[in-house]
Amino acid sequence: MTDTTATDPIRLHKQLDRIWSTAPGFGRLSAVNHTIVGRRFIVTAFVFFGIGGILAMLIRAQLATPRSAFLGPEIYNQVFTMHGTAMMFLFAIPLFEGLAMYLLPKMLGARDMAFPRLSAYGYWCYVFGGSMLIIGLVLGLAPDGGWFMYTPLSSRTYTPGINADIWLIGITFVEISALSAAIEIIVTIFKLRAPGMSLDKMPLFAWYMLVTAFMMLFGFPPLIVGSVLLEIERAFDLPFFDPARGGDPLLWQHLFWLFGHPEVYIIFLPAAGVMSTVLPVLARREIIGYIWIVVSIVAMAFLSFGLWVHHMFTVGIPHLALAFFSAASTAVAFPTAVQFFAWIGTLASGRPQLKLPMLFLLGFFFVFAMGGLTGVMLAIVPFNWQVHDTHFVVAHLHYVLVGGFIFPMLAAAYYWLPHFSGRSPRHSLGITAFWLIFVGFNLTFLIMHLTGLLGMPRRIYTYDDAAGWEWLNLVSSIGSFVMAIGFALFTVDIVLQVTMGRRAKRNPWGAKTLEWATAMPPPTYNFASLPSVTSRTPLTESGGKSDNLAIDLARGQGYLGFVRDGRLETLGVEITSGRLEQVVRLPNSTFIPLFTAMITGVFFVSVLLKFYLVAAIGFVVTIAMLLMWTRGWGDRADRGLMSVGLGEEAPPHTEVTGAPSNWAMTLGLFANGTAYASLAFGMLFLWVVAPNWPPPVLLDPSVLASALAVVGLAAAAFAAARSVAPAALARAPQRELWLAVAGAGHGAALAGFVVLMTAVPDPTRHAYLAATFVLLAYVALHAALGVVFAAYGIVRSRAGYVSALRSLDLRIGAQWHRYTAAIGLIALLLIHGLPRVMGS
Amino acid sequence: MTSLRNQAFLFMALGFTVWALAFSVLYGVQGTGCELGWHRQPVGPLSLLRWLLILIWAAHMAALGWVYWRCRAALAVTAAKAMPEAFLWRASMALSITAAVATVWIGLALLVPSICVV
Amino acid sequence: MSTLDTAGPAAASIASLWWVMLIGATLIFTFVMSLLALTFFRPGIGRGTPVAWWLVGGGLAFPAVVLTPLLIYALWSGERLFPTGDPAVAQVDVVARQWEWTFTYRNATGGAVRSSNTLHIQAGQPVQLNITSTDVIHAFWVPRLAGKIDAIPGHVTVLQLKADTPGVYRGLCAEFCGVAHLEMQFAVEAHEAGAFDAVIGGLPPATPDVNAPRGRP
Ligand code: HEM
Ligand SMILES: [Cu+2]
Ligand SMILES: [Cu+2]
Repeated sequence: MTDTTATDPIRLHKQLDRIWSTAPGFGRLSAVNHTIVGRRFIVTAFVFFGIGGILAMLIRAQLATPRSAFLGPEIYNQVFTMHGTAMMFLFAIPLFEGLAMYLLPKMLGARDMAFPRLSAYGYWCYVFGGSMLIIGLVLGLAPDGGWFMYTPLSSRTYTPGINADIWLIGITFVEISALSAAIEIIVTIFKLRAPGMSLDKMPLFAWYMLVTAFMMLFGFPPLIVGSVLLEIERAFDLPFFDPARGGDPLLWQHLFWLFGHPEVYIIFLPAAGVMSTVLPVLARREIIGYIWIVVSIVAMAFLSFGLWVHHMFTVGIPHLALAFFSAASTAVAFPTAVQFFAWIGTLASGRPQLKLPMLFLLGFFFVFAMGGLTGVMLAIVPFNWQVHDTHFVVAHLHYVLVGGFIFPMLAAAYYWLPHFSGRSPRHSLGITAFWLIFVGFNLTFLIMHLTGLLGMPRRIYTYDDAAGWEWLNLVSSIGSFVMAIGFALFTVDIVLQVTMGRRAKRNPWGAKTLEWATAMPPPTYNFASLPSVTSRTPLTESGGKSDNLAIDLARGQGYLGFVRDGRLETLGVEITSGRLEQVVRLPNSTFIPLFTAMITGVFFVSVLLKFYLVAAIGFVVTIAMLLMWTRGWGDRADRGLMSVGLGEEAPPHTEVTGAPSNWAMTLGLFANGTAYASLAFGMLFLWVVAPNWPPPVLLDPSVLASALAVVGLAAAAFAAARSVAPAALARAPQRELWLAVAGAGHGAALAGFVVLMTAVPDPTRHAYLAATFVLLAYVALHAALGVVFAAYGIVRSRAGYVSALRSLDLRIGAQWHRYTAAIGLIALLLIHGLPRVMGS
Repeated sequence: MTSLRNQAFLFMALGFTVWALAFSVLYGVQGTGCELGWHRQPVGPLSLLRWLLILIWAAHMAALGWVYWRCRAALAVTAAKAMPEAFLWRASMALSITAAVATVWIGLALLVPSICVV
Repeated sequence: MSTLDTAGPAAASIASLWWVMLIGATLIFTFVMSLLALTFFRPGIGRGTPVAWWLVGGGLAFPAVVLTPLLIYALWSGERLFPTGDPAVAQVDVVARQWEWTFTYRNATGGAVRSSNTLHIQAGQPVQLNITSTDVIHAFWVPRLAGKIDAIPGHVTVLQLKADTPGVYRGLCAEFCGVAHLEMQFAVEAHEAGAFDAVIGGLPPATPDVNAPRGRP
């Protein structure tokens, strides 16, 4: 132990910076630090925003005049599809992920996110997946089925080229980053807070991000499952969506919108989080109704999962069912209104300042209020029948997305820019940019409501002059160019400020959240020592002046104001109470996330090009590399309680039950379970709703193989539970034996599942056979991974990373084993039960 | 005591999980019932399908009542001891009320006459 | 093509729904924006206002007062737009495909007849359309007469349509369906009773392949 307690801030800074910093030059590619990765996410997202924006300008140029010969339908279809896709998947989601990554640790009083390498891996997956789509666009092979890719139009018969595959594979690749970010955000908020920050003292932004991340965890799996099924249908002709063979195009719509509607709130909530953070600061008072807002966010998150059918009001669903969704859709107005009035009430009882970010917040109020009102209109079934798929909807969705996301994000950009860059804004350009964007936006989209009401459908590349839409479209196009100039000005302004702004003074807005207690721009480790928090406004704690806390922390007068064994350390707390619980060790910069993402890219590109052998190798190598992340990572000896400064002690994360990685596995299994449930839902949905059922052949699954699988799964679950029992943990041979049994159990189950799969007669014949086959493949894959994880547990145990105290590796594995047993049994129940029910 | 601590977070999600369950079960049973023709089977003044939906709705309302009652009791205990969990229990209680109101709200749909397409 | 220049009962009922909602939305929007403006022009105006007023009054009571009647009105008016299944209503089977519409008149005297891209109806009489598709999803929409409904392969959707007066009404495919999506337009011709029979009598007989649509509703 080389405990060095330095009270000299410069020395402390040097010691910390040495271990936290990232190498220059090519070494930058190895960055895993949340400040760097967060910033990269943000900048990359804005690049995609630029691309999406240029596409939007192409759309508006084409529609400016009737019978325009500028873009033909082939190009136009690619352009609007890529515009929607880029804006939703490559801009909005990554932007707030980046913002959350950058801000959360600083707001919560931690030194990094819980899984820095995962952030980096997610970032590279995002860049590579996004690039696939953009390369497709440049080659003229971009997807052209609209951003929701309805089948059968996107099926192979009607879109034979590679275009749709690029969408399905590129987007799935990008979604890895969304899921990994979701897990990471939740665990960070749960565990990596400053001691004393109980959940009720957490900044509202963190509450918003917590709920958003949970929504992503449950919202993205249906999309991923849908995309995978569609890609399987396109590549191998398994007919999930083909009505002639028992599939159903409506299944795609359900899976897509089950993701797609929550998606809108996933985009809105972080922006609302910015509102709730920035607005009180500029209103110079605390926000009113903290608990009301927390309750509203949770309510909104749940309600938003019950609305998806309002995108399907015209598919011929009975009125009573439509009424459920209509009612649920109007119900979101309540939590939205609570937040709206909490913000207005805060302004009304504070002393609001009309600074630049506030201007954008006011833009939000104006634009989003209008989007919300047209949203309620669209939730009204009969009205929806008229304006669905018209430019009225295009107008509505831009009011919601631009109002509910862009304006708050531009406010965020100006608000946190001093923090990012250490420089303070010059106001002149920003105000002009605001007015150009605001006026241009309303000019473009306000009258577009009317265009829609006059009957102009969306997604048409031109129109004739008989319908009376010319002047409306011309005004829209002019407005959009005004808005584009505004965005260009904003970009110039930001670049100027970052490069030439005045040096900012610390905490320029007088905020009270912890991110303003770091130096500006922030050092690699955020805080030289970590604060102890006793209220929602930590910056007012040390004697009232915000500088005091910052200076105390820089002097090392908080927790962990030292470097121990050259390790990167931060603190972990109990979820609810925020009591100190553990010392979390974090990884340093490494190239391995980049390499893993590249191999993952090999997998996705080979699937795209139909090199399935290479793809299989890519998959295996990806898993192997992910496991390699843990090499040399962990402790070979028990450490017990360690000093954290301020006279307190805590064990390392490897020796507690609530370690971050244990939570990550739990959350990962939630997402996995959602995917599995979507798959099972798909099967049952087809059975109840799809045409051409019952299928021509029913499966008669082998009893022997099923029994083998049941026994194997039961053995795996049981042995996994025994391997982490205290008695087994204490003795290496015993725990390794149990792990071997678990592995063997999975092996047996795998064999059983493979036999059952091979017994499925030609799965291209009917959706029932296809669904059965895929369900079995899903659990077989889990059993195969179960073998790998059990073996890996043995390796870790042999290498000395496991003891009675250090059981983390095995407990993570045990979760997997139990989960696999559960889904395996459900699969068996389904494939045995369904033929019986259908046969009777 | 420890259960009041660990369950606090769970109950925050529980109220609306019941709502979501009500929603999915109502939608699922409605769709299945239309397929199987339960709406043409009269039972007293209403059809079998509509009775079923009303029953499902009422069962979920009852479940929400239970959630509310649990939260209320837990809040009383934790608030008296000034535990940090009290915040979560208060939020959970509010959420259970909100979820009940939301369930009543979507229940309005059960009044719609046309239960299946033709 | 305007949804507001209505020529049938369904479109008219929806248009009045729109006007009601537009007035309501304008009032709400003006109210909220005025409040917002006040917070800047009269700083501190809300300092004495209890927090609950904002949250309970603005967040809960206000939307409840607005939305409850709206939802009930909407359900009530929506209910009357659904096809009644009345056997007296004439039936036309509609088949959409890339990129044309085929209409089969089941009840024509002397056997089913068909027309392409023009739907003939009798003015003042409701007609029930049974709609499906043989390839991708399309949507049947005549803005001046009624809301739209999708044409989905493997499913049959129904729409009830009525034109109050004779005339030609433009219709179009509203669901994006490929390169020639835009070209997938059609016309609805509403005729006086006598003229209608003559037009139907002059149509060619329906070929078997586009007879009654198959699939589950
Ligand atoms: C910057 C100014 C923008 C302009 C001028 C613009 C313009 C348009 C237009 C005219 C369409 C309709 C195309 C058609 O139906 O033929 C459209 C579609 C769409 N836009 Fe934008 N847009 C802008 C920004 C955004 C942003 C910021 C987002 C999301 C965050 C977004 C998301 C979408 C989506 C999802 C669609 C639907 C695409 C589809 O139909 O598949 N747009 N946009
Ligand atoms: Cu939606
Ligand atoms: Cu079409």
